[in-house]
Amino acid sequence: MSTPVLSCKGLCKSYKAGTPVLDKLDFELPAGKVVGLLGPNGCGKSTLMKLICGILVPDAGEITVCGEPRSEKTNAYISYLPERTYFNSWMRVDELINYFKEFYTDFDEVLARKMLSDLRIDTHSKLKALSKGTKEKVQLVLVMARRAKLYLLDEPIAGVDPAARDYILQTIIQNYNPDACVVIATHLIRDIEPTLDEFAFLGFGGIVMLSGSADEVRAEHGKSLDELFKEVFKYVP
Amino acid sequence: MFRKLFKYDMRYIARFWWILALTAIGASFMGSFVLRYLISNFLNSDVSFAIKFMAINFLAVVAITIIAAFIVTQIFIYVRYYKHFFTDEGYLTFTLPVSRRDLLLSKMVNAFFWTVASYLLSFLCVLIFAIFSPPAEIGGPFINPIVFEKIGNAIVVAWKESGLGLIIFAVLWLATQTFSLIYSISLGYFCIALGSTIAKKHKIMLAIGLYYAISIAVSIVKNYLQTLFVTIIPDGLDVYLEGASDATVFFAEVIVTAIPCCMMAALAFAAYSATRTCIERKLNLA
Repeated sequence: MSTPVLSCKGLCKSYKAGTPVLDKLDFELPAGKVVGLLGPNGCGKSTLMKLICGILVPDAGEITVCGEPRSEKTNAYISYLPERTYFNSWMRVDELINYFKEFYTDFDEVLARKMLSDLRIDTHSKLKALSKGTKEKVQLVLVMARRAKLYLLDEPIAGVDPAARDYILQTIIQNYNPDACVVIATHLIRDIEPTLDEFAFLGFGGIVMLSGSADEVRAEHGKSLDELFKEVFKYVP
Repeated sequence: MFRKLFKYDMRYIARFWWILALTAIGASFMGSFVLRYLISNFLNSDVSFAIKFMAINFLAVVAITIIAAFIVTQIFIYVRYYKHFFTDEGYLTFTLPVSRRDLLLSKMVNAFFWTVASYLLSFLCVLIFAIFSPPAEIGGPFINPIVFEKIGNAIVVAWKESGLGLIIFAVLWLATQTFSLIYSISLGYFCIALGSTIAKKHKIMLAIGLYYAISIAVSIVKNYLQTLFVTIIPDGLDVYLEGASDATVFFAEVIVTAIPCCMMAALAFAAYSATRTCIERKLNLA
């Protein structure tokens, strides 16, 4: 069996003592899949992504990326899109392209410029002059223009217009390396559903409520993932 | 990777620092001429009080500009560090394929470079005043040669009296200043890191409070130890070394001078290590 792209064993994280966000989470992700990480607010989707790319320090557990323990070296394999705008606002889009080119050897500048041109984004603009949605598009383009082994996309389409959403989802499907794995955390299940190969419903405390192949689960339950999500996480008044 | 990080850190401050430097140098030139005019005409009753008053105010503005150039540089150094590590920009910083040691080291070297540059800029501004402002005599030479003569004489006398000792003590002094600067920067970085790690709100306020609390505590201990080593022990040494050879006395003086340098080195190392531990093991971005 080939080495999983991502493996987590006994992963624990809590922000407050006694209330774990993730409690002994175990899972493995293979290459060549687009995986949806779906769950209600506060269930630990973003926390999990931050732990994988080293923004948070786990309380316990192990994370391995492409068979190597998590470190600054594994950051070279991961292309991470956080749920917020995180670039320095005084930089121009051109400068950001150069920044990515310098620090990431797997960055494809030609692809990035093509995508930016498709989305009609002026690369001479300073980031602070762009709208919030356009900034998010720039971030997504730069992240997806890498030939990474693991893509972690936290709410990639939440802040962009519906027309751009279709383009972005197409971009995700078309551009990711077949040896890579794409993990998408989102609430917009209906939009993202056709893109997903696999999914996991993450409940509070990082408990996996339901997971598997998106097609198989849909066929088995006769419902879309969106409908299943509402059923599993239904709030009772 | 370190070189790339350093390049971006340098560029961040360089893009405004040259404006500060040119402003401070320009202000110093203008200020020196105003001072020259003021010195020449202070007792001249033909020049109105209003003009003299304006000239004095202008000199105050020049002094503030020179001081501000230094302070603004310091503010930018710490703002860069805070924003790059502890705000949303940290999401990019800490996901780069670069070790946290390199990230911190780049910030340290950058801060050291720009602080030294700011000191040199302040020195240059003072030198401009010293050279251009005092007229040797009214209507005398435009550049006052007395300044160069005095500096040269001071170096010659010091060299004649101390010889090799001058070099040794100069090196020790330079090392002490270097360690002191590293300690100061590291302490600032540590307090920001600690404030951002333990507080959810008012992180900057906490960092400033921590900086002053730690600085006061350390300076009390440092002053006590320095008094012990530099004042009490040398007095004792004078008695102990009475009748000893010149070489023995010289060696003893070097050792005593080296002690504050070692203390600063230890403080710099401690502050840097604490910052590194905080960033490598404790930092959780919200």
